[in-house]
Amino acid sequence: MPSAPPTPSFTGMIRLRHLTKRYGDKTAVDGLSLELEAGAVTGFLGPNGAGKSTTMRLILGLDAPTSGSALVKGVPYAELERPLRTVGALLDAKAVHPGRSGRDHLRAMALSQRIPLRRVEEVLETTGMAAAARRRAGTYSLGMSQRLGIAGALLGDPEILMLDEPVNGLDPDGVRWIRTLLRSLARQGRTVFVSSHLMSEMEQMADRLVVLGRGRLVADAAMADLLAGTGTAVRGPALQPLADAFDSAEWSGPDELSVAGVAPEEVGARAHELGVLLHGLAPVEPSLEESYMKLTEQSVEYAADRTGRAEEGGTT
Amino acid sequence: MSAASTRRPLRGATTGPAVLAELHKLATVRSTWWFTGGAAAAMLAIALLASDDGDPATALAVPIATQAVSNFVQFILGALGIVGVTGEFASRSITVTFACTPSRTRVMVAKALVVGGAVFAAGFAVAALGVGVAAVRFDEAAGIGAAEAADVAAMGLYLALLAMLGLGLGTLVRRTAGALAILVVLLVMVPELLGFAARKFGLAWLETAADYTPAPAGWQLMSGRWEYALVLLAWGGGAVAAGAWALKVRDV
Ligand SMILES: Nc1ncnc2c1ncn2[C@@H]1O[C@H](COP(=O)(O)OP(=O)(O)O)[C@@H](O)[C@H]1O
Ligand SMILES: [Mg+2]
Repeated sequence: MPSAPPTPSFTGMIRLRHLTKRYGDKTAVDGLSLELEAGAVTGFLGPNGAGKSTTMRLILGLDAPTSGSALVKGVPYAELERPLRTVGALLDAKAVHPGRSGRDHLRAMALSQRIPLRRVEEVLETTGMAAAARRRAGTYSLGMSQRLGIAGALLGDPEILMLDEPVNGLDPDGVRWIRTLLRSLARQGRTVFVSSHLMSEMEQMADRLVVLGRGRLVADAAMADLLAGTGTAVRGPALQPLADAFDSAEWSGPDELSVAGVAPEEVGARAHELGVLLHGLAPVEPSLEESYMKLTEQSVEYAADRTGRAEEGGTT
Repeated sequence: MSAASTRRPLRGATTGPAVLAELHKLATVRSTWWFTGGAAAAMLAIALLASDDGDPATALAVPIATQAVSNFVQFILGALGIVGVTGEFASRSITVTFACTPSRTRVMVAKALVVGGAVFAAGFAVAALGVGVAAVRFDEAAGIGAAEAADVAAMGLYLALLAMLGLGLGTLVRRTAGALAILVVLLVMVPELLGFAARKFGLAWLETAADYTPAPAGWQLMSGRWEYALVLLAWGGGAVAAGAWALKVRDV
């Protein structure tokens, strides 16, 4: 399952081939090959230091790869004329001159691409930044900076959106807003590439997950596959016959049983056959967190990072 | 193939938007206006406070303004050139600049044109202010003509090329304080040290070399020797070219 492109409707909007970046003797990105298709949100997951931001900088040509290549619609980013019309990126929300207003920051970007200045007002509205647009960016909260950064990414109405940890610093409303926005952009047929170090953020956002660990591709899977494999939880006073009937049954309490990999319909039918009295019967989806663990289990060297990430995940 | 069609066509055709963006950025940070105001205030103070040398035959307005440029204004407007790029490195907004305009050369050319043009305008205005105020003060207003206008233009040109030198240094060093220190050393200490060494060791060519450093060359330019504009153009253009090269070979 990992590493095969999950969907056939594949257009290769962004194509990474054996992309490698070393800083001194530190390998930040290690032979990463990846293709991103249009019309989907691809989640780019990995613990802090995994190489996600570096990968995005390489795609934008901000850093030069040590070897390998990163192509956007078949060409290096640097060869795109008016690149913001093809790729809208938010790499670092705080990368704004603190003395310049949000509106003037966007206007300078628009001028550089021959984008009409009224488009600046549109994206300010879309991102809820219109009221704060005249304030100097140095006075913005992290959440406001993220919104301004997203406004900048949307400015050129691009086919590809690339956002590095856009949810950082946003309140729950903001998180929901980003999720809805990215889903709708993907539905319009755009390519959305969004990174996070928290699995929980990806759960309702991504169609596909690409997991990076220490610069290497650890897993690449469709979200639907990850969430597949529904199990069943049953409750009742005398469940022993049912526990004997399913190999995967496990006691989760004195009168509770969970049956992995078996649908509620089947468990219910079996209970009926066996004459077992049930007080409760419910489907159980494996948490994405568990699937993530399973996905990354193969990668031994990744194990240390994974526990670190799991702790962070637990606090959110 | 579709790949070919998205490739960049003519270079010159697309530097315009980058220039507009740089101009907008320069005009929308307060530091630009503080530096310009500071340069004007320094010039005005000198024009108002400079004393008469007692000889009624010599015209004072242009020499006073030239003194003010050499002693104060050049550092302020040189710093304006530096901050135009180091401010972007400090805030990391340079990444946005390169995302918008991936060609490092194009960014550097746009910045040089904007900084050069803006500082020429500001320098010209500040110099004109100094010459005008001093002329009124010393009763020379009647004698102001084309020659004085040319002197003012020379001051503007010197300051513009110096700001480009600052821009190049700022791009190379990426830090405001470091670039400013180098600029001050280059303007003040290097010619002094070269002159000192020339006298100490009797090496006339060191004296000549000192004349070709930016501040003495600027003095010559402001004294009407326009050929020194080429010397300053070499400094400014060389620094900008070195900056463009550094941007190309370095990660952002
Ligand atoms: N400019 C740089 N110089 C040196 N090391 C770097 C640089 N940028 C990133 N790194 C290192 O590369 C690794 C990957 O970093 P990064 O791409 O920021 O990870 P992520 O975004 O997944 O948290 C980290 O170990 C980081 O310290
Ligand atoms: Mg990162």
